[in-house]
Amino acid sequence: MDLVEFVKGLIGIVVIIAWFIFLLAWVVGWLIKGLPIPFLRVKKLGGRFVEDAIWAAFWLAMGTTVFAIVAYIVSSIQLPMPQPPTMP
Amino acid sequence: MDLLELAFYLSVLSYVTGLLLKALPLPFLLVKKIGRSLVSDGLFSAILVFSYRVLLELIDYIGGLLGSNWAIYTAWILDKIQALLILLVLLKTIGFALSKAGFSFLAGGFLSQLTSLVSTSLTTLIISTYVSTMLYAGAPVLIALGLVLHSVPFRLTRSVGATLIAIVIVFSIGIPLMPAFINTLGSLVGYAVITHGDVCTGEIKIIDDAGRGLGYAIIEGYVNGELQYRYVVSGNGTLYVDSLYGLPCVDHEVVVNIADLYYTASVARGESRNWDLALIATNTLSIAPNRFVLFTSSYNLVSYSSNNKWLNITMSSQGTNLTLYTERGDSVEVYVDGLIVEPITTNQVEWYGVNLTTRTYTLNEGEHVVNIRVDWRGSSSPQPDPYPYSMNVLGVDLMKPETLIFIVTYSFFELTIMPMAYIVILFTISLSLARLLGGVSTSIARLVMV
Repeated sequence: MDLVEFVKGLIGIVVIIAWFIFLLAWVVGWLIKGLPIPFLRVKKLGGRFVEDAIWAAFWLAMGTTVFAIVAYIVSSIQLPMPQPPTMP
Repeated sequence: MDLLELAFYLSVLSYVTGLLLKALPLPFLLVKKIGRSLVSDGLFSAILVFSYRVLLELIDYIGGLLGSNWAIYTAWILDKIQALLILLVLLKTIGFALSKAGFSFLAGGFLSQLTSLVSTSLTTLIISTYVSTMLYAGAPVLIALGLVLHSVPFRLTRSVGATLIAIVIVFSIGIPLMPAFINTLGSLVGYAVITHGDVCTGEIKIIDDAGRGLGYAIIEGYVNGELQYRYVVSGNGTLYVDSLYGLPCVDHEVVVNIADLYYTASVARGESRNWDLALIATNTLSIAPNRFVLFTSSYNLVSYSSNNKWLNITMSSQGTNLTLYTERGDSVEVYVDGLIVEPITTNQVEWYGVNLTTRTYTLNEGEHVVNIRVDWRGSSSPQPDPYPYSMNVLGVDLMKPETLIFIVTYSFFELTIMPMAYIVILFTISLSLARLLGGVSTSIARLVMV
């Protein structure tokens, strides 16, 4: 299999897993934050999970969009390759 | 497979993997840290991938600023290799003479030391030629490969990639500057010390009636009938003689031998220590190296044009023979006044290993348009025994080989120690650049990820 295709497939899988993990982290974060226990540290941990998950999701969305646009532009323009260098 | 595309997707993989780790609902700081560094690595690699063309342009640009020139570098290397080969031949001759004279212990001990110094220098030069050729021709591929290695997630091959990119950049710029480095430092010592300043340099041109260079002539210099030097002129008719080979600094006789035709001239030097001679081989017109026309008597050139295959002239004479010299295997067509003509005689000449064919044609009195077409592929240089002037000046006596120790040691210093020192300098710069390429991402990360 072509290495580029393999890496592309890998990226797809990782992105899907990352979105699921974002949902999971979101849920787990709110769950911990909403626990009816009087430990502030545990609640803070939940808050941090949610915060991290949101930031990660934001950059994931931005990153995949930007990279996809770049890949699209590159593949649609397809500049001709420059002449190979020659020895003097 | 496009390496750049692969590098780009590997950067994206690093980026998304980093975000995945960052999003993990685990209370371990280490995991988050790895995730953050993966994200910044991915971004940095992606920026490098997009800078691919910039990197290549940068090599040209900085090289241009510093004045690095591959043509000069190649000419320098070839020149030095030639000089070392002459030294080797000389050592061989002396060794042979010594063992004939019964001093084989000298040939075995002392001379083999010198020979090994020369061959070490030769090996160093040849290896540096290979490496530089590889870097020069392979720079685009090597940088792309470096980018791929740089982009592999989890910094598995990041340092290797950064080093590869840095080495290609630094060496592509730096290697052509090696002659300048060595000449600058070497001129502080120089051969002048060894040869007592008796050696001059020069540029000798052998030209035909139309001012075009006549390639592959053999030039000999004589003082009082004694041979001082013998060189072979390059294919374009120009001979550069540096202080290693040398020319005499006194007035002398020059004998130019072109395909066993001899031209003699007395030359007088002016104030300069650099000869600048243009010797005209009369009654000849050059077409290409080892291909030229000789007129047996004087003629008047009315119009002239020539490229590497055709010679088109209009000439008038009192009647002359025209002899066309070509290498064996060339195909030739000669037209006089628009009609194809056949030679009256054809001869084969062997001239220092070059096989030449001569064809003689007769031209009657009056004005003629002569068109000559020579189809040729390669040209071979004559191979006389080289005899550089410096060998004469050094007074290399077959029975006193110790006089050679100065020149051999100097050439070892100039062509082994100095190139190695220079390469070490370049390597140090490369490592610093590699550290910059492989390690700057943390500061970028701070900027990007806040």
